[in-house]
Amino acid sequence: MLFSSYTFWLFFVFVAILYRLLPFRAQNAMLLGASYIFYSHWDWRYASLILFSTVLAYAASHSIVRQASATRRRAVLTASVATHLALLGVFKYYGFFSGELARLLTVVGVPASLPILDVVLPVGISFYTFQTMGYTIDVYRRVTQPARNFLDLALFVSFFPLLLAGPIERSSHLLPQIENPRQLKPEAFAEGLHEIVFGLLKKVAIADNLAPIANAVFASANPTGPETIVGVYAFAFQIYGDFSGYSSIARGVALWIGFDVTQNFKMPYLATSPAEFWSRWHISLSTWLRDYLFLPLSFWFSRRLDGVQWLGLRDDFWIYGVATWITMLLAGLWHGANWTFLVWGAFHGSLLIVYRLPGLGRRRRVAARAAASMIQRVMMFHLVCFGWLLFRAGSVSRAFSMSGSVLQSVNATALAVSGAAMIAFYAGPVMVYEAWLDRQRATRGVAQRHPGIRVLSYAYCVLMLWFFPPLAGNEFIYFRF
Amino acid sequence: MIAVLTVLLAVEVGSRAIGSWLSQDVRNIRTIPRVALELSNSREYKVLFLGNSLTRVGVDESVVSAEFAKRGRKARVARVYLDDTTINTWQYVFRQHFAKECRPDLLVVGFVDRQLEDLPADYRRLGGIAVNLRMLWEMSTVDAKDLDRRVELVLGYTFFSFSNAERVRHRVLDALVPGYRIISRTLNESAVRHRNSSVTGKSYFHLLRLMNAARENHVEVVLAAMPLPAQYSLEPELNSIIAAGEATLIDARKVEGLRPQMFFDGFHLDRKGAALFSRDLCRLLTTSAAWKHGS
Repeated sequence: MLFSSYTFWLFFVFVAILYRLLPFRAQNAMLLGASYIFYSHWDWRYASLILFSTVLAYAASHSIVRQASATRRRAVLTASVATHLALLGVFKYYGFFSGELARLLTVVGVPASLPILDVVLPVGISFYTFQTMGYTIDVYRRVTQPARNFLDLALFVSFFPLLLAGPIERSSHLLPQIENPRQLKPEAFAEGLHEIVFGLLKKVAIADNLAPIANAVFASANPTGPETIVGVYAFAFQIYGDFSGYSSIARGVALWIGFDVTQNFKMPYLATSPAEFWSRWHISLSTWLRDYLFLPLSFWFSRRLDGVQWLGLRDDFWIYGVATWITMLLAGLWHGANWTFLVWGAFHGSLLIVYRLPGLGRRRRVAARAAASMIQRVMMFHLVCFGWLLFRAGSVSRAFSMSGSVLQSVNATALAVSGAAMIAFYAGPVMVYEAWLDRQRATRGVAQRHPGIRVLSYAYCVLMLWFFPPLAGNEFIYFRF
Repeated sequence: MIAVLTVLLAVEVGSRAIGSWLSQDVRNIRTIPRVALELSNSREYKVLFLGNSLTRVGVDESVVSAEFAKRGRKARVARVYLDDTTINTWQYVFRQHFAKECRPDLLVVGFVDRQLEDLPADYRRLGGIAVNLRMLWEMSTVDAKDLDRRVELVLGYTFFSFSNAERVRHRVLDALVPGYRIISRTLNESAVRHRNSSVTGKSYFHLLRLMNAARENHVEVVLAAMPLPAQYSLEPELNSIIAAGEATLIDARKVEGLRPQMFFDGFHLDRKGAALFSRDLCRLLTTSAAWKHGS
C-alpha cells in the first residue's frame, strides 16, 4: 500500500475512525493489528521478521536491566545488535559480499563457488532494524526504560506510518507516546493536512514526473554533458520529492492519530555546507548514525589518538576525520549493496572532512552575507548533485564516464532543454516556497497564519495532483533500502 | 478547504464548458452519438472505421467513399476515433454506441503493433467514456482489478476535468516547455514500457469481446494493420484468434508509393500518404471475405 494510493487512504479512514472510537489500550492494539495488515499487504511472509526483531529487542532490553555486571550488560547488547545486523546482512548484503568475495578469490587463483541466496529484500528492513537497535542501545545507556508492555514495543517497531521508509524514531520520543494516553491537539489536523498535501505533491507531482527524465538520461549509452546535468538535477529533485514526500505524509498521518514523529527533512538543498546538509537531509538517519556510531567511534579514537599531530593538523581533526569517514562509509552501505553507495558515502565523508579543515570554517563565518551565502548554497547543491550521480549511475565507472561527458560534450539536445524546463516547472514552485519558508525561519506556522497563502498553496497542490499525474507511477525509491 | 473545493468545482465547470473548444479529440468523442444516429438512418451499405489518431489522420473519408463507389458499392462511411487509445477503449465504444440499433454492416478497426492486445489502460480516460453506470460497473469488474483503478474509473466518470487531465497536462507543458512534443514521445514510450512491463503474457480478451459483440449483431469485422515508418511484426497467434472470431485480418502495412517522409511526425500520415493508404485499404477491403459477405 503506497501512501499515494487510494487503497492506503481507504485503509487509513477505517483506522482513523476506529482510533477515535476506541479507548487508549484498545487504540494501541488496533494500531498494532493495522500495522501488521499494512505490512502484510506488501508481503505477509516478512511480517515474521518484524515480529522476530520485536521479540529480540524486548528480551534483550529486559535482560540488560537485569544484569548486575557491566560486562554482562554489554554482552547482551552485543548479541542483540549482532543478531539485528546479521538479519540485515543476510537479506541485504549477502549477495553483494559473496559475489565480491568470489570475484576476489578468482582473481587470486582460488576458484570459489559460494551458495547463492535468492531472497527478496524485505521492504523497510533497514528502517525498523535501526529503530529497534536504537531502542536496545538506549536501554543499555539508561536513556530509556525497557518497554513495560510487549505490545507497546511491538507497536513502536511496527508503527505503520514509519514502517516502510522511516523516519527512524528514537525510543525516548515515540515510546512514551505509545505508553501513555494521547490527546489530539487542535492544530494537529491542520498541521497534518499541510504535511500530507505537500507530501503527496512532492511524491506524485515532482518525483514521479521527473523520474522519466532521470531514467531516460541514465539509460542512455552516451548522454551529452547538458543531458547528464539535467538528468542529475532531475534525479536530485526526484529523490528529494520521493523521500521527503513520503516522510511528510508519514508525519501527517501520524499527527492525525495523535502522534508526533520526527521531521525528517528541512529544505536540505538550501544547505551551505556538508554538515548543514546532513542536519537537513534524512535527519533521523544522520542523527542515529551520529549518536550510535560517530560519537562512540570518536570517543574510542580519542583515547588512542590523544595528542597526535600529523601534517600540521591536531588530533581532534584526525579523530573527527576517521570517525566521519567510517560513519559515512557505513551510511552509504546502509543505502544498498553496491560499490556506488560506498563511493557515495566516501564522497560525503570526504566533503565533511574537507569543510572541517582549519581556515575554511573561518571563511564560512565571514561569508554570512546574502550573496556569499547564495554562492555557498549553489556550490553545496552541486556537490550534492555530484554525489547523486554516484548514487544513481549503477556503477562507479559509469558515474565517472558520465561526469566526464559534462566537460567533453556540450550539445544541448532536446532532452536537455525540455528536461531543464520540466524540472523548473515541477520542482521550481515548491523549492521557491520552501526557500521562502526557510527565510521566515518557520515551517507550517507561517503557512497557517496567512489564509491567502494557505488557500493558494493548497489550491496549487490539489490542481497539480489533479492535472499532472505521472505517466506511470513509481514506487518510493527508499523502499529499495 | 471550502475555498479549494470551490476552485476545483470552478475548474470542473469551466472545463466542461470549454472542453470541446479546447480539444479536437473531446469534440470528436462528443460527436460519437450523432455519428451513430446518422449511420443508423442511412440506407446505404454502412462502413464504420474505428481506431485512434492513426485512423483519424490516415483514413481519408472522401477517398474511401469514392473508392467504394468505383468498386461497385455506394457506402455510407463513418469514422470514430479516440486519440491515444487501443482495443480496450474501442470495444467499449463499439458496444455502447454501435452494437445494436446503430450497427454498421462492416466494422474496420485500424491498429498498429500491440494495439489489439490487452494492455494496461488509462483508467481516468476509460471512466470518462462510460456513458452510464452499467458500463462503468462493467469496467470496474472486468478491467479494473484493484481499488485504485476502480477509484480512477469512478472519478473519471464523474469529473470531466479528471478524465481529461492528460490533455491539460499536454497543453500546459507544450506551452511552457521548449521541445515538449519531441521529448514527450520519448518519455511516453518509456512510461508505456514501464507500464506494459507488468504485463506478463499476451492476451486478447477485449478483441474477443469486440468480435463477439459484432458477431451477435451480424456486423462483419475487419482488423486492418496500418503502416508505420518502422516495420512492426504481427503476432502469429493473431490470425487464428481473428479467424476464430469470424473476423478478417487485413495486412495494410506495406503500401505502394508510401515513403517515410509521408509520416509527418514519424507516426501519422500526411494528406498524400493518407490518400495512398486509403486507396490501398479499400482495395484490400473490397477483395476481402468480409466485403463479399456483405454483398
